[in-house]
Amino acid sequence: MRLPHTLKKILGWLMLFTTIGVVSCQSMYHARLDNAPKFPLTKW
Amino acid sequence: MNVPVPKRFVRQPHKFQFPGGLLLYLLPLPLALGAMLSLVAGDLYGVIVNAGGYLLYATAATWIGRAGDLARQARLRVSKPRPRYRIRAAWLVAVTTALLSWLGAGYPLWLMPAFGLAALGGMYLYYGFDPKTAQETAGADDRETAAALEEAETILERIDSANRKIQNREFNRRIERILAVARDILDEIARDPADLRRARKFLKIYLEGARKVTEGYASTHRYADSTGLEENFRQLLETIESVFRRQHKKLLENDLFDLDVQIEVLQTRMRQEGFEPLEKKESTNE
Repeated sequence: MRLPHTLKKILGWLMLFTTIGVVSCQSMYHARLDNAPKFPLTKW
Repeated sequence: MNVPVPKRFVRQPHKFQFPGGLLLYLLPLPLALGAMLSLVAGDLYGVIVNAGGYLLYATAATWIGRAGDLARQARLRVSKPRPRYRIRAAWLVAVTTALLSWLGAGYPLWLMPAFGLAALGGMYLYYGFDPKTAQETAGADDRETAAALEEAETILERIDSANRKIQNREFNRRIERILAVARDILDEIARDPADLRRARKFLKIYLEGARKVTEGYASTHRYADSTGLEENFRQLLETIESVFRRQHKKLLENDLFDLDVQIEVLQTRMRQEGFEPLEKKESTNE
């Protein structure tokens, strides 16, 4: 079954918003706190 | 005596269009901010992760934009292999998101695939993947698609040049809107050549009808200053525009159930306005 075009767009937008949005905001949050130890590869 | 007053003709500037991958520039903006904050804090790792992440998303956005441009430019050469920008962009976004979830956001390693897959799914649903080649879609022949699109493109050019002869801003804008929708329909057919079968009537009857109407008006309106003619033309353009929009919507939704009814409506309208019916030509062509 093919999803209607609008539904596809909305679902796609939500998935991108959730993944990219969450990951970007979390990355910025860590940068803002300057808590370098939280980064897994930070000890080089 | 009724002396026709020349109307001042000002062509409207083209509307601003958002770049194709706008979402992929906007959503990761916190990364750009994060990169700046890391820079201020002197945290090299943060700068690399945040700035790198943003750059990768921006690259994917550029590819999505290029995929859109390509669909427009390549209408007439459907058979040539084209770079699959959308799939590339989708994978780049998936990998970037997965890596950032671990390296930037600090989520556990096992969540990486989940982020990656969700981003890939989002890219597929929102932007779609590149069109299949015509050979992969049942029944549609590549050359046939290219020829049909080329023919349609020629008709659009003729409508456009007739539009330049019409000195009425309202009509110019209406025709420009019709042309824009028609080009979207052609893009859709180029994206998925399987649409050609379902859009064949549109290409043969609607477009040809729009050309006849526009060229007819362009050649007569200067000599016959009649408000009746203008009114008829306005109504025809309205009908054509609404039928085109519905056709585009139906193509997007892959549902052409009531298309024949719309074609009948348009043909009846054109017959009423004194334009030659197109069924005979249609039947001789097929």
